[in-house]
Amino acid sequence: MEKVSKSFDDVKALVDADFIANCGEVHALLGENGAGKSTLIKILSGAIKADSGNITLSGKHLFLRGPSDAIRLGIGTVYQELSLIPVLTVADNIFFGQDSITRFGRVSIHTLYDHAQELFERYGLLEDIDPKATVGELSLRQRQLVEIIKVIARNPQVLILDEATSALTEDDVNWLLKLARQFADKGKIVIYISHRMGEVKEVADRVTVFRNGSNVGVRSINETNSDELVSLMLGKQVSGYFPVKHATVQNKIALQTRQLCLGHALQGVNFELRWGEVLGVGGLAGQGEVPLFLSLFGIYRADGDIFIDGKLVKINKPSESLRYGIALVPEDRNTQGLISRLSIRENMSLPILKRLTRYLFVNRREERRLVVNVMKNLRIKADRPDILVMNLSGGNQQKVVIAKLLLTEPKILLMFDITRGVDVGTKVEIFNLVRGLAAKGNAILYYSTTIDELVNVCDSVVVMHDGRIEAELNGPTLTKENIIRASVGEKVK
Amino acid sequence: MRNIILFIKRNRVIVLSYASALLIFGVVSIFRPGFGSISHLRVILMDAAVLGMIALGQTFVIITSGIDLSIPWMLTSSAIFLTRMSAGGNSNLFIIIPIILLGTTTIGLINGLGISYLKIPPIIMTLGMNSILMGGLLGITRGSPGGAAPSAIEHTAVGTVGPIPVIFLVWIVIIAIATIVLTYSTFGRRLYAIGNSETVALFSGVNVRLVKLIAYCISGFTTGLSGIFLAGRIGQSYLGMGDPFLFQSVIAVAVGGASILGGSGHYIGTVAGALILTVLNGLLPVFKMPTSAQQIVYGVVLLAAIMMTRNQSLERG
Amino acid sequence: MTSDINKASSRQVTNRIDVKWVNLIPYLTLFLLIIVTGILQPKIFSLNWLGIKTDAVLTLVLATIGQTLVLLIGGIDLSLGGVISLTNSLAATKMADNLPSMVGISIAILAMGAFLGAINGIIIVKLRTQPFIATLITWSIYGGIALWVLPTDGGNVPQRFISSLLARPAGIPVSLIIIAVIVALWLYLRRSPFVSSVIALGSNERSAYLLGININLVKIQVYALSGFFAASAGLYRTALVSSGSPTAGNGFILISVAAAVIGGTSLAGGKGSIVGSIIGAFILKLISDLLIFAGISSYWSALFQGLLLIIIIAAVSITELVKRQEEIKR
Repeated sequence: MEKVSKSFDDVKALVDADFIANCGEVHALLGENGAGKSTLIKILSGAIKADSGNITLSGKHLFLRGPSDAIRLGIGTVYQELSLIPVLTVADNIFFGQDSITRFGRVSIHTLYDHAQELFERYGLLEDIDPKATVGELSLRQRQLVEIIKVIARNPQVLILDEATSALTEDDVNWLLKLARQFADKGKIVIYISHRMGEVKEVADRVTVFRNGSNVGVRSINETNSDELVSLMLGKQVSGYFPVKHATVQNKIALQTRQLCLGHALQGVNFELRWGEVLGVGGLAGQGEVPLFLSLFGIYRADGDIFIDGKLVKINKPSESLRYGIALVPEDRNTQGLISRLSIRENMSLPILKRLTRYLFVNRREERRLVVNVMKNLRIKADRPDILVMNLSGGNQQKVVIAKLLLTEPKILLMFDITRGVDVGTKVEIFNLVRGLAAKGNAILYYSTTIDELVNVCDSVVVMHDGRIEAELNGPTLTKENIIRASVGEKVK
Repeated sequence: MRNIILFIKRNRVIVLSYASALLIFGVVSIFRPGFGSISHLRVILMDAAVLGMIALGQTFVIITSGIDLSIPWMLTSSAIFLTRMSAGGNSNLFIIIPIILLGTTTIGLINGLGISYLKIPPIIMTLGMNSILMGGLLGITRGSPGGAAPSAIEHTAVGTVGPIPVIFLVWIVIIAIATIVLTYSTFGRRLYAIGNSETVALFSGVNVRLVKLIAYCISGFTTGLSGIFLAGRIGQSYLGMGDPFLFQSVIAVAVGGASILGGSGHYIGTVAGALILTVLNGLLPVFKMPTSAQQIVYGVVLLAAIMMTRNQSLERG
Repeated sequence: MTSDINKASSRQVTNRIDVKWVNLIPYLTLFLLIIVTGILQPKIFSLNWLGIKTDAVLTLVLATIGQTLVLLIGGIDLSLGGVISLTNSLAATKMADNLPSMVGISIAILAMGAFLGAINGIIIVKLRTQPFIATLITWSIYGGIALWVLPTDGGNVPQRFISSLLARPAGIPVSLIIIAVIVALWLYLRRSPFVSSVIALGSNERSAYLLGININLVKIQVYALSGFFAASAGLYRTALVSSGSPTAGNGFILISVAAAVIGGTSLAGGKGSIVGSIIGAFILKLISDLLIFAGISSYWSALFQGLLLIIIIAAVSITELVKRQEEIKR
C-alpha cells in the first residue's frame, strides 16, 4: 500500500495543527467539544478555508476553493449536521450532482430509483428506505443512513465520518463499522470522528487526539487504552479545577415537574430540585434536554405540571418565568444570549427594563450602577460598561450573559452548557460562582455535555434518555461510568 | 473632544449625509445663485419636513427589521379623506383629523397584526395593504380628483413664522420627540433589541410581538399625519400623490445610516437623508434634468447608501 | 436549542395538514373557475375564447415565471417592474417596420433583460445585499431609464410585429404555443442539474453549499433568467397593447408574486413549479374577469388582488406555523 500523508498547519481554532493519515487505515479523531476536530475536518472537506498551512494527498498539494473541489478530488464527507435537501427525494439526494446519470441534461426518474435500490442492497442497508420518499419525511436515523449511503456511493478516496452514528441503533453502528473496515481494506483512508470510545476501539487502527486546537498525540489502537486517551483529551487538570462541594442542599423543594410532556420530545419528565442544590442534567444530545429547559423558561408550552415552592404555576412566556424568579442562561450566547452590536450595559439591562423604567424612560443612573456592580462581582474584564459586547473574549461574553440573568434576581437558575467555548480560567470562576449561588440558597439546574463537570460540580445528576429521566444519581451512584451507562439506556451500578 | 470624535466615528454615515447635503447645497448655490436664496431655502426646508415626517414611520419599522410599503396609499387616503370630508373648509377639522389619524393607525395595526402574529413577511403584508388601499380608494372615488385642502391646513403647511416655515418648526418638535423616544425610552431599547435579534429579545423577556405591532401602529399614525400636511403643502389631493414617497422614505432611512436589516440607525440620520434627497430633488430643474433622472438618481443614492452601511457593519464584525 | 424560536411564540394548533393534498388546490381552483365562467358565459368552449384569454394573460405568465425562479431561491424580484417598463418602452420606440429590425431589436431586448437581471444577482452576491433592497434599487433605475426613453404612454409599434405575436396559425394562438412550449421545457428540465441546484439552494443554502453547488453563480443565473422573462413580458405587452408605457411594469410586481404563491410557490424558497405559477396567473385573470362580469368596476381590482394575496400568504404562513409546532414535538 502506498504511504499517504496529509499535514495541516493552522491558527485560531486550529493552532499549527498536524494530522497524518495513511492509506488502508481507519484513523480515529478524538477530542472534546471545541478541540478543533470539526474545524480540521471542514477544512479538509472544503467547507472552510484554512488561514495558513497546507494539505497534501498522495504527495500532491491540494487547493480547495470549496466543497465541489474536495468532492471532485475524491474526499467524501458524512457531516455531523447532515447535508441533505429535505424537499428532494432520497434518490435525488443520493445522486445529486452526479454526471454519470444525466443524459441531455435530464435525469430519468426510474433509473434513479432503481439505482438507489441497488445501492441499498449492495451495501446491505438494514432498513427499508423508500427511494421515492422525500427526505423531509424521514426520521433522523433514516436521514443519517441516507447521508452515509450518499457519500459511500461516490467511492471516495478519503472517507470522513463526522459523528456519523449519533442517531443510529446498535445494529446500524455495527453495519457502519464493518463498512468502514471494508473501505480501509480496499486501500482508502477512513477518518472516523466520534465521542463514543467503544466504537473507536473497535474500528480504528490509529487514533489522533486533539485538544485546544492542536494535535496532542497519535497512538496505535492496540498500544493504548481508554484511560490514556481520555487523559490526553482532557489534558493535565488544573489543580483545584473543580470547586470543593460543600453541603448546600436544603430540604425544601424549589422546583418540581410532574409528567411534563411535549410530543415525542418530552415523555413524562418528573424531577425535584431543592433549594441550595445544583442538579445536573446529563445525557446524549437530542434526548429532550433542550425542550425541558425551554419549557421551564416559557419558550415552549409543555403539558403537565410545574410547581415552584410547592405552588402550581403556569409558564407561558419568558417574562412570566422571570417573574417567578426563574432565569435561563441559554446554550448559544451568540444567537440567544447577547446582541453583539450593543454594549455590555444595553445587553445586561434588557431583561430588567421594566424595573429600570421611570415614566417610560430608562433610569440610566440606576442602570449603570447595577451593571458596574455586577461587572465587579463577576470580574468581567472590561473598562467600561459601554464597551460593545463583540469586543470581549468568549469567556467574558459568557460572564456577561450570566450577569445579565443574575440581574433579574432569580431564585432558580437554568444553566445550559454554560462552559462551552470558554477558557479554562473562566471555567473555574464559573464553577465557583455556581457553587456560591447554591450556598446562598438558590436552586440550579445544570446541563453540561462534559461528564466531568456533572460529577464534580453537581450535587445530584439526572440523566435523560428518550425524553424521560432515565436515572437519578447522587452520592455513591454519581460516577462517570453511571452517567454514560444511563445515557445509552443501560442500568446503572 | 474625544467624545465628539468617537461620536463621528460611530455615526460616520449620518455625519457624511449632513455634510453632503450642505456641500451639494453650497456648491450649487455658487453656480446658481437663485438656488441658495432665502426663498428657495424655505422651499427646501418645507419639502424636507414633509418627507422627514413621512419617513419617521418607516424609520421605526425598519429598525425592527421590517418595512412599510403601504405608506404611499396611506398618505393618499389620508389626504383625500381630508379634502373630501372637509370640502375645503375649516369647520369640523377637529373631528375630521382625529378620525383620519385613527383610521391610518388602524391600518398600521392591521399591518402589525399580520406581520407579528401571523408571521406574514412585511414586504407582502404592507405591499398587499398598499394595493388594498389603492383599490379601495379608486373604487370609492371612481378616479375623480380629490379636491382642495382646507385653508387652515394649507396655512400651516405653507405658512411661516418670520423667515422659518411653520411646518419646519413642527418637524423640529417631531424630531425632538422621536429622538428622545428612540434614545432614552424603554420602548426604544426594546425596539433596537428586536431589530438586532428577535431571539435574544425573546430570551430576555421582551414581548417581541407587541413591540413590533406598536412600531407599525406608529407608522400608520405618522403617515396619516404626514398625509394631512402633504395635502396642505400641495394645496390639494389627487390619486397617486403618495407613490413617489415609497422610494423616498426607504432611501431617506437608508441614507441616514440605518441598516435595512434592522437594529441600527436613528431618526437623526433619516433627517439627514430627507435633507439630501430634497436638495437633490431641487437640483434636477437647475440642471434641466428630466423627471426620469430623478428615479435613476434615487436608485444610485440608495446603492451608495447600502455600500456605505455595509462597510460600517462589516467593520463592526 | 433550536434557532427557529418563532415557532415557539405561536399558539399550539393540533390538526395536521397533509402536504400532498395542498398541491392539488391550484388545479382544483382553476377547474372551478372555468366551470363558473362557463356557466355565466357559455361562449368559452371555443379556441377563440381561449386565444383571447391566453393573449391577455401571457404578459403576466412570463413575468410570473421569472418571479417564480427568484422565489425558489428564497429571494424576490421587484425590478421586473422596471424591466418590463423599459423593454416595453424601448420596443415601442426603437422598432422599425422591417423584419431585421423587429427580430434584431427583439433579440437585443431579451439579451438586455438577462443582463439587467444579472446585475441584480451581482449586487446581491458581491455587495451581500438583501434581494429586496437590491431589486428596489434596480427597479428605480430601470424605471427611470424607461421614463427617459419614453416620457409618456405612446410609441409606434410596427403592425407586422403585433400581428405576428397575436397570430392564430391554424387557429391556434401564438400565445398558447408559447405557453405550451414553456410547460414542455419545464417538465423536461425539472430534474436537470440546474433546476435541482436552484431548489436545493432555496431549500437549504448550507446543505447546497456542502454539496458543492456554486451558490453565487446560481443566484446570478436565476436573477438573469428573471430579467430575461421580464423582458419577454415587456416585449409581448408591446404587441398586445400596441404601444409603450414607462410605468407598464409597476402593476406586475405584486401580481407576479401573488400568482406564484397561488400556484404553490413558497416565499421561503425551495418549493414551487412553473406549471403551478402559470395556473396561478390564469386564476387571477379569471377572477378579475368574473369581477368585471359581476359589474364590479375595475377600479376595485387592486383591492381584491391585495386582499387575495394577503389571505393566501396568511393561510400558507399559518400552515407553516402548525408544521413547525409538529416538528418541535418530534
